[in-house]
Amino acid sequence: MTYSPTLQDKTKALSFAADRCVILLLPLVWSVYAYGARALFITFISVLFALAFALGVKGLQKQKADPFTLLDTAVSGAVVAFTLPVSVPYYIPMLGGILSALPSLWLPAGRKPVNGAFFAAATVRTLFPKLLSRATQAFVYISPWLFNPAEADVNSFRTYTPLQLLAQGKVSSGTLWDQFYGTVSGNIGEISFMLLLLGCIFLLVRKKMRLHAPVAFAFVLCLVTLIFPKGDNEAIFFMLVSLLSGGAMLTAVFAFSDTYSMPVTDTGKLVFGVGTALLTVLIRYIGVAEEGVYAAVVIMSAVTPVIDRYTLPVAYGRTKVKGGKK
Amino acid sequence: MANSFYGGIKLNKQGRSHGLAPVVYTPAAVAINAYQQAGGDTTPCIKEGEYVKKGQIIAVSERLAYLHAPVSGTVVRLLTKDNSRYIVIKSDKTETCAPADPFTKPVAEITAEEITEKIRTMGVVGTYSGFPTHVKIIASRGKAFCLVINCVQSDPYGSFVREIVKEHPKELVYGARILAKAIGVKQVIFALENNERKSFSALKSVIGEKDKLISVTRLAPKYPLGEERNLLCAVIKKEVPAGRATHDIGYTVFSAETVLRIYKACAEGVPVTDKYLTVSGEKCASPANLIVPIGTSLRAVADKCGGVPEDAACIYGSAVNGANADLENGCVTKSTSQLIITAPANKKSFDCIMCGKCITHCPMRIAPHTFIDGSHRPAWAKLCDMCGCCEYICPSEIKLLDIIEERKKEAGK
Repeated sequence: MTYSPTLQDKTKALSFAADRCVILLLPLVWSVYAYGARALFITFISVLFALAFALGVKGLQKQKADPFTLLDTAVSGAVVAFTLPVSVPYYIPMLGGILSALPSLWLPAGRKPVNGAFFAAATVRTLFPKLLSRATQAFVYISPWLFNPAEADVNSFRTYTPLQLLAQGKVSSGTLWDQFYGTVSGNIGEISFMLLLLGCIFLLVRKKMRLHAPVAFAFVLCLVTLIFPKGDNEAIFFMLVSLLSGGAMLTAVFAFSDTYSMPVTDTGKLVFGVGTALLTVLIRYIGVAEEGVYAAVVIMSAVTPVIDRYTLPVAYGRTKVKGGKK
Repeated sequence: MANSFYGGIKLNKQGRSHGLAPVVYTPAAVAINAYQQAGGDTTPCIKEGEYVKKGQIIAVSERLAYLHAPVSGTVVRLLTKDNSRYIVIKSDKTETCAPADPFTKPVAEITAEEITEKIRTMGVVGTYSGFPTHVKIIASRGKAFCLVINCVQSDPYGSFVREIVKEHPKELVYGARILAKAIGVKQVIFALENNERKSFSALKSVIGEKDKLISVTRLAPKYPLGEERNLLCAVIKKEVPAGRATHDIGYTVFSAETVLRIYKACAEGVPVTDKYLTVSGEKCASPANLIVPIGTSLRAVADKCGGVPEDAACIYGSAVNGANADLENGCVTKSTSQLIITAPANKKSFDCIMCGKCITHCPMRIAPHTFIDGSHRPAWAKLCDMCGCCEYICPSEIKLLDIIEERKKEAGK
């Protein structure tokens, strides 16, 4: 007998990638407002190289690229651009785009070995640590036509991000609200906590992401930073800066909505969120980089198949249900 | 969650046939499949050319329920086709009935064995499974202490069960008392969906305030609440251990239509000769709840409700987990429940995107996506109910039911 049910839920696979594409737009618009056209150029270059690489490889394999893979690759390219400061020379988004498209080559039939965007972000950060720590002030515009802005020019607008200051045990001059809205220095897509939060809510409402991973991640990150503040900072302040500044929210939105590198079950997603938060704090505390969240996501997404294997659901009839009466 | 179970899907009721009283429909000829019970075959005990009255026994078996002539008329042919034996009867349109054979004794004096035997000879089988009712009664006797009567029809088009409950509350309560006696249970629970207010109050008024045996409970509507194990989960918050039957934890579930049949068999002495079913769907010209003689061809049933347009598919069973109906050869059996005439699905079947929706919606809490590459646990293939929630929710439109069916076959080998 072949089944042929006619009722089908209206949510389509493509909309998972399309919705992630949509939530890119708000932070992108904000980054152009805060950093000028150069932010748009960086994102564009990264997406272009990611797509070109993916299409090139598919062409060599004589396969047709399906729309889901293309959209997913484009999102990965844009997310890696979001983790770059606006002063970077253009060869970094080129490299980042190509690296971010690498794990997408496993699509659509298989699981990604790691999360592409965050793998690229962690790699370029390891390769060019100095270039990537040159965050500049918001609302100071660098010309988009400079391939590699002169170091002296960049240094004249250079400001430390709140997270970098925190790693040095200092406190930024702006208020927490500045970090919430995104009027401080930082990486182009990460500065506005509010807009990323809106994207997160959009995904949750549209049921493209489960609540488990972002909530577990935020909760554990807050808890650990609250208990173990670093430097002479006030614990609550330290906690809020850890959450508001840097790539924490970008992770919550774009890493946890990438179904191909996330565990399938709700328990698995919970484990992923907790693991990412713990690794982030660990790398921030004892590692060399002030931003540990990219490496944390890469590590967790690499162990996702293992998480999946041990968090398969307990089937009906194999556990006791609470509140059962005799 | 109160009065519900894990997973499942909330479906909008496509209630085009809701609230329509069942209509009796009599075709010109019927072809009764002797293989229609789960568990085996019955042997025809009539000859070609013989005249049969409606309700006359036409096929017998030592262990299984009997088959009765659904119409009065002449037996045209006994034929064997596709490994099934068919009895074809041409109706004479007079509806001459064989004499009814009810219990003559008062209810208090009838023994459980007599009731069980009566149910068998009157041909009562399960509404959806086609499993002989008397076998289930004997299996649950002594083990079950509570009888749950399933008055729920959770799939979006189905509506005949709620019509039965609305029209026959007295018969159902009487039938439930007989069934309770046959099994020997101390408690009877009618399980209704909580939007069935009229049926609820009708049942309540028939049962009365002080009845210690029978009670009515209302449950949150969600597909597939009608499945036995999900229903128990919602009613008693208890799960049936893997590999066991429901009576192993002291509960047994019978459907409302079966209880109505038991009432008719015992109190009126009328055998099962017809079947309630729903014909509905977007492309159905006149949706209806029908009472159709067993053996009516599916084509005749569809034509009665306006026929199947060329661009439509006809689904046998629920629209969530049904199969394409075999309109040419198929006929109504004792376990036919729905015929859905609607636009075909046209599934594109992309690759799995690992979204995990099938896991959160599976009432059996298995991971349906693992069946695609065969990495599922072997026990899961047995556990799956084929409710179709995973296929409904899958954003990649993967034909999970077909895949799981294949894995089940592999596991069975």
